[in-house]
Amino acid sequence: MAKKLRFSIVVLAVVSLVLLILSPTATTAAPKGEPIVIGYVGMVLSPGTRPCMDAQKVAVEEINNAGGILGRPVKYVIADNKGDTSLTVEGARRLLVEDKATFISVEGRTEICLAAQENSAAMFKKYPHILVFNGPMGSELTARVMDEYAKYRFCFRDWDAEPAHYAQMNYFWGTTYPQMFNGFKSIAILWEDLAWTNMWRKGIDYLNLPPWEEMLEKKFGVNVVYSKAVKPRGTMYLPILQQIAMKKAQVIFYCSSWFTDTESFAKQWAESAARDIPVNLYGGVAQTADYWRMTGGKCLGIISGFTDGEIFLTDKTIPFIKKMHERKIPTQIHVHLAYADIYFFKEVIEKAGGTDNIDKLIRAMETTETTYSLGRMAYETKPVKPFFHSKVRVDPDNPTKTTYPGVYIQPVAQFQNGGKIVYLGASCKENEKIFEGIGSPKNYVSPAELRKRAK
Amino acid sequence: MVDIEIKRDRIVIRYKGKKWDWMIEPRYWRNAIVWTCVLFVFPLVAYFVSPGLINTMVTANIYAAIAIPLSLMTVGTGRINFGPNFYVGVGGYTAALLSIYCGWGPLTTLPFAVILSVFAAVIFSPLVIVARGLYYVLLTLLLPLVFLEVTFIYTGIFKGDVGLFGVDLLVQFENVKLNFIMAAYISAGIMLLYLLIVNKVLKSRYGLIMATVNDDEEVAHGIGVNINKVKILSFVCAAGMIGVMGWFLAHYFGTFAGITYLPLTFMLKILLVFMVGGRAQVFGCVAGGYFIAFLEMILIRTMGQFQPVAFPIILLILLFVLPSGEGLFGIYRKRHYREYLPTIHVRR
Repeated sequence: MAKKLRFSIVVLAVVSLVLLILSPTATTAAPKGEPIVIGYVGMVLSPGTRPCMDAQKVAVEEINNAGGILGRPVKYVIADNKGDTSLTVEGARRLLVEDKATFISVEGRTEICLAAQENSAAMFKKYPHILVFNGPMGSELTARVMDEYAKYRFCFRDWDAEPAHYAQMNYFWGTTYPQMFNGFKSIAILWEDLAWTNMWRKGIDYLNLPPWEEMLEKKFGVNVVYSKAVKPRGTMYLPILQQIAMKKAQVIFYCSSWFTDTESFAKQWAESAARDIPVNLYGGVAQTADYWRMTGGKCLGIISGFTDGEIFLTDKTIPFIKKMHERKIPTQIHVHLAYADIYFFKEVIEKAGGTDNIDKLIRAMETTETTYSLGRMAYETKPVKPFFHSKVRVDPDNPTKTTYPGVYIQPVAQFQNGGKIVYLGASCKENEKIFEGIGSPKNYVSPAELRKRAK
Repeated sequence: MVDIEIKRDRIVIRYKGKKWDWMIEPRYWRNAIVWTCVLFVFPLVAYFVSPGLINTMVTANIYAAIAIPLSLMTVGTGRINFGPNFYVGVGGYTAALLSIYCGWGPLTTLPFAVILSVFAAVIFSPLVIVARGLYYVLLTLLLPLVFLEVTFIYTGIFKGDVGLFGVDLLVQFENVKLNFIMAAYISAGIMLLYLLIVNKVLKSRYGLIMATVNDDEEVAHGIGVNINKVKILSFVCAAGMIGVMGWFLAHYFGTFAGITYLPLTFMLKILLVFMVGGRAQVFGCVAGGYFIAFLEMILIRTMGQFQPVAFPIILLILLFVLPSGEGLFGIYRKRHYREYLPTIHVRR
């Protein structure tokens, strides 16, 4: 009996010791050595940018708690640019010269990013680094990487290029819209009056891509009954909505972004003559659940991409969303991307074996692939402008048709009664399977019906 | 025959009935020399201590170099122009377009930036004759905003909110820190040149005439001053000087977009420089430019997320606390009145 007891104690001690050794706190040595500096230049007060910074801070904390990158700690530094070009350049210079940053993310208008790119190119020789544009649309940023590869080879854009959105629109107008809007034959389009919508308004000659309006009319036989470029903020929408109602459009497609006052638009739409015409917002704050609160429920019936829901898209999605919700960080698309960027950098550094050789880092940026909360993170290496060095999404040789499956999984949703988010499926046929248990266009309910239900 | 007379406080040179005098009393030139030396030593010190400060200095010089001509314009026209950034836009777009489409370098684009800015100023100069008070303020305020709209409408030329890029850089040495220093010296050089010119003009006989126009146009007209000529000249010359700063910005950043320089936010900063330094006081523009640029940089570095709130609060407090129109420089000058020659009082 005593022998058995002694044996049990020894076994227990050995098991405890093994468990102790295998436990993360015991195995994870605190990172040591010179820190790897990751910088972010953006507007601290911007509701679009602040969550990106907060999400990246969380990622850096997690990496440091797990032992850093190659045993080295990661330091995260923010430079506030206040939405100003000179402060952006000043901030980027400080990050490079004083903080010795290896990776810098820049957020802001394309123009701000272009100035940062110019500055980085001038400083690259003395301060080799990787420059990542977090979310800007301007194709100029990556088009010039192909034109002058040696000069701008360190520049990457974690968002896709304008031509990459053609396949998605083909899917919407050809597949999901006809399912949601019976006999889909007419549309009103509002364009945010900034340069990023120009390519879609005018077409992209060098890729032989037509303007979206032409695509709608010729390919889908849909009549564009109203089309107007509107100011990103401060627009009085009521007269516009009145005209749209008079034109009897079946749906309003608003090519909006983070700059657009979509909350003000929703409030005016809900009180306007066009309130029975369904609205599809392209981008902006409607991607998060906050939109319901911001509009006081006036967004009832509005359709938008929605990236703030705890649904399974990849194995990273739910943990990420939960983590962000715990910290009250809204998760619009570029917050997903900003968080994913940090883990992507980690992979890149590990692949390159450190941060000393910039060419190895650039090569690793071009060849690394990671999974993140909305799909796969990788950069396009096919030498086609402006896809090159942008985040992959569609086949650059066939941007109107082929979307890479599982690369960018965008849920489309509708705000229904009580702020409930009802999913309407994917943004491309290649990802339809992922949404089988989540939602489909069949879930769409007209705004008039939703209002009736609310009563 | 040149007649040179050395007095206790000045050297007087007389030639054919004309007279020039040069102050040699140390207290009158000491401040200018000391501060100029500080400005020239600063980039070298910053190069070793904190190179980022050089960029802040460039920003301060840009602010000051726009505010100095604005003060000349204010005194000469008797009106505050609320849209000096219009000429930054004209100069900047001229330089950027010529550099991109003609492949011209900064030295070649400079005269064209000046000519176009002056030309634009000549076109809009009747404003100083036909409008005054609130109307003038509104009209000048609208000019840059209308120009901004034009840059959006004619996207093919101005590239809208993306702006023009690929502009030849101002200096392109192999050593990047040397580029920073050169940019700092060029901006400081332009700013000091403006300071010298505008200070000389305001102290000259022509400055006296401008002061009379500023004080009371009807009285000035009554005593034989061609007030329209004075106002238009002050307006056009100052606009040309401001246009040069647009040229500088385009070649300094290698990009230029109206959306950065034409909206109210940029103009507000210039007006703050103008007010905090000392309304229409040329030396005050330098004090204001450096104060605003360095305050913003220090707050960004030290106050983190509270900085965007702290910055306007500090400025608001300053605007309330500083004696009306005197600004930071006015306070300094009051306490060191012996170090400055008496000047004509201009009601600004």
